[in-house]
Amino acid sequence: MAAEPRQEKCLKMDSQEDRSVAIQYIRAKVDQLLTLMGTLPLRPEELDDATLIELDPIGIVAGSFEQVLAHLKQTNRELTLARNEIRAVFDAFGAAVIVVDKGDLVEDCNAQALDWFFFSADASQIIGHPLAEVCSCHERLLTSQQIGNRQVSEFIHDDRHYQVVISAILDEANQIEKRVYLYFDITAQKVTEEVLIAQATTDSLTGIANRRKFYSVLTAEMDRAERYQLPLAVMMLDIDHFKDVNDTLGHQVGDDVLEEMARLVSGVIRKQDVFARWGGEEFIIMAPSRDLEGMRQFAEKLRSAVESHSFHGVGRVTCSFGVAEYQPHESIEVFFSRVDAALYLAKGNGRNRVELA
Amino acid sequence: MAEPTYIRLDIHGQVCPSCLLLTLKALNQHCGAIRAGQVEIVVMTDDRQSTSTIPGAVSKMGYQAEVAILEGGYRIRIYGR
Repeated sequence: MAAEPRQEKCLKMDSQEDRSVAIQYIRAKVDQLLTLMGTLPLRPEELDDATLIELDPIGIVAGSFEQVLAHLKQTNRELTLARNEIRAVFDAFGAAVIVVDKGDLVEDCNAQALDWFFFSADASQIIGHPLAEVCSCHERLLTSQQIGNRQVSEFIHDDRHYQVVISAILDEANQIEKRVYLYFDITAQKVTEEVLIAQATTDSLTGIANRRKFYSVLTAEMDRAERYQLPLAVMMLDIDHFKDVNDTLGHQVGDDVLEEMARLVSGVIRKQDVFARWGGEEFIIMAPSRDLEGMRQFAEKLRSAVESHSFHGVGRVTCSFGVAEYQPHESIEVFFSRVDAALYLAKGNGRNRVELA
Repeated sequence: MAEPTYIRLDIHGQVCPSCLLLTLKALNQHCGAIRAGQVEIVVMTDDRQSTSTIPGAVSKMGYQAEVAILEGGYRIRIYGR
């Protein structure tokens, strides 16, 4: 430092010149310390030499630095504890964590990440390599969306369903310094979701679609039929004298008949047809691309299949059928009321028959 | 907790860095008591620069600073955590 060779001189202080050199030295050192403390240098016009010596600025700043260092030591200690705490959470966490630098090179990963994605390889074989090179999961994303400053995606890996949350870590200038990839195994959640959806759309007794499911599929098919001018027909069937089965043979036998009917019909319909339990002893079938006559023939075929089937514990069972074709611009309510009217007609005309509307 | 003792430091007319030096001097003298919350330093100044240099320097030492604008100057309260 420039002031260093003058130190010899200033220790002597036997002349006015030496004293002035010493003062200069003190000012330089005080300025250096003040700059470190984040303030302005001293200005000679504000503080004359006598006041400067009396004030003892070096003593003051030295005392303050002692406190700065003590504070720094305490802060470092807290930082070390916080880092250890994070490391403990990092390693014991149920999720996988991978940290990459701004160049997408892996900086760190926890034990769970090694286990899930790197076949328990040593972390040292992963660290320093590009993430895309060591982990191909991100090439097969099923969904991806930006939520705030996080990107949330899902993918399947080794038959497990994962969610990955990618967060950017910013530096003090708000530039991306690192990225943290947080992976959660959401397989169980996905299975539960599927079960719940299945439960909400299935008739619990017969296992076929329920009214809710039928409604949503029919609405979509009506749109499609309208847009592409395709025929779309619906038939409703109702088991004849079902109340008598329940009353004389009991509800268990009645339930068995419903289940057997569902199996029987399921075996006859086409893959693209939608078959649902409408409620009670009523069933409904939608046949895309089938017109009224096609549906009538299909209903006739079903009617005869039911009639000739021997139901367990009951024997012969018959059904009445109402058939209608969807008319463009017709509301779902009007369409259903026509199907219902045709079924009512079949009942009124002696049952075990097909009527059209 | 008992109300802390206030040490009032009136440095009107002084400018930085003297303001800071005088404040640091008081802080060095009473550091233990300030950290323990028994003492607080209240600096009265009319030097605007001090309102940034003093809080900046004392926070490096682990203290808190609070600046209030008064008529004809500023009040900087310095206290421990």
